[in-house]
Amino acid sequence: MSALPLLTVEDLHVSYQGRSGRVPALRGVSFEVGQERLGIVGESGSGKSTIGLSVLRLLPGTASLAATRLALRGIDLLHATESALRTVRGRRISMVLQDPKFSLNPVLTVGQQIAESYAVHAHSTRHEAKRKALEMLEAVRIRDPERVFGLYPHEVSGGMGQRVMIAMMLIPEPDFLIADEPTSALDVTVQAQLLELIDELIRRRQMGLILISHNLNLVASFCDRILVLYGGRVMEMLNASELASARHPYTRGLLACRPLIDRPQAELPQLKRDLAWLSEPVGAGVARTRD
Amino acid sequence: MIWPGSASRLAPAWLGRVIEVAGASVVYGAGSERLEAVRNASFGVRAGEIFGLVGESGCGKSTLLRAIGGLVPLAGGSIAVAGQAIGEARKPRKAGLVQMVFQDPYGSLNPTHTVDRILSEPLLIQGARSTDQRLSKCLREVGLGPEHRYRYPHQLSGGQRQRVAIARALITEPRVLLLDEPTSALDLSVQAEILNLLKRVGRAHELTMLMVSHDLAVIAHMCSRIAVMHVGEIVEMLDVDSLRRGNANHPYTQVLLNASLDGGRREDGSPFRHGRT
Repeated sequence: MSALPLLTVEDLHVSYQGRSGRVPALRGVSFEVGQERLGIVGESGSGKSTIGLSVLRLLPGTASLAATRLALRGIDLLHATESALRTVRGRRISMVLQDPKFSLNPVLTVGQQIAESYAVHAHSTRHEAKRKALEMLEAVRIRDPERVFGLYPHEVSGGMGQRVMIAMMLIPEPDFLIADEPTSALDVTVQAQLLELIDELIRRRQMGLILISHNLNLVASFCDRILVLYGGRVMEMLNASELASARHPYTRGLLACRPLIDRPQAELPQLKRDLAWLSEPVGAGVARTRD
Repeated sequence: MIWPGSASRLAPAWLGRVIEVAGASVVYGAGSERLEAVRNASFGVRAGEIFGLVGESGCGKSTLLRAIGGLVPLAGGSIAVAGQAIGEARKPRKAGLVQMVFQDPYGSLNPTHTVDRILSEPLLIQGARSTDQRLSKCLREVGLGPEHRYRYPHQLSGGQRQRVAIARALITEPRVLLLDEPTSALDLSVQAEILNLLKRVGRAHELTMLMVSHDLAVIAHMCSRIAVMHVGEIVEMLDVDSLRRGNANHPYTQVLLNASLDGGRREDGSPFRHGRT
């Protein structure tokens, strides 16, 4: 991690209003991200997407958020006004979501949407915005930007749709990108290309990245550090290169239940979960296995 | 079509094939919109075997699976399941011999039906009696309890819904299960539970299974033989040992192996990634 963190999250608690009381989603999550790639992994319901939404302060009205600190560089995201937050979203922090089918506007061409994203943040003319959008389409390696500019979302493939999303999110030149399962809806062959593209763009622009995924292999091969989340608690934070030798029983369990490619197994090991992990301080599970 | 190296070794097993696909083609649309989704596909699956179909989206693997299930018509060739040609009018009882489990347990269960009704309906269609005993036995077999029987799909987790989908498939006592990406919408931990369940019920009922997936580790875990599809054609057939060793002849299979960032792993703990540095 670089010396100065870009994003600081300290003791973040989020709960949602359920039918029978409040349901905790995050229970005291703390981490820092610098100019690096942080992977957040966990199962459905572990709170990983809630982290992304909390940072952007985009949680729904039924959610309540508390933290001791939530800051991007000097900007206090916790106490910022709604209008201040609007200058942060998109301009400073962008988010790429899982499925381009649902996150692009179906009645506007993809070019119009990218251009709009630039025009809103840069207060530019339409002509200038179009020129920038075409440049950006080229940067996400779309071969024929002029043609793709005029296509509607249903006319592009999933991989191309996700390139469009990335173009739209990076055109205001944010400092930070949150990618929530950006390639889960795509083919394995397209996944690798898109991750390489994201990697190249964030390196060139010296951005920080949070990659949220349930795919341990993908995160291990793409990120610098990995935060393992279970039940809204951080189980452990480790370097991506150390994932195979992770010590927390939850991480070990997750790793073990993947099928082996090079040897037959009669049964896959099933993950055992321990509710005690939710009340332990971070690192306790790791420390215990060290003894 | 000849698959190098496989014909002689697999020859005795061609006998007793439960699924027989011969030169099957599926065409969508007509004129300028005409798309040959599956072109001249041939393979056989023997009794009790789990056979894998892999390839990227749009390669025709799900279309081929649906054709075998009788859900899309053939434009050419023939498919026979348990000795009966697909496309001929089938009695409901015969149709019940082939059952399908779909990818998305959120979309494949009727949200307005309870689990009880979801499981009873296939039996009623076949004119069989839906007895209390049969339903509870079936639920127990997929690892669900009596407390789940009168719930609606939205009251179940993704893994539980997929268990209901498997129970719905098993209740007609099929001989063939067609699985269309049955675990790709699930967490790795839940995937492990569902794969174990499928293997277990497959053994218990001597089921023949055809599994479509893009995840080579899942395919390697479940299947004994694999057909690789690319733009509507089967480009390679290989056995699981060749897949494990990364021994693929066709360049496209190699691309799939190289690009795979999926949920598999190697025994030494290194992530399952061939090639790419």
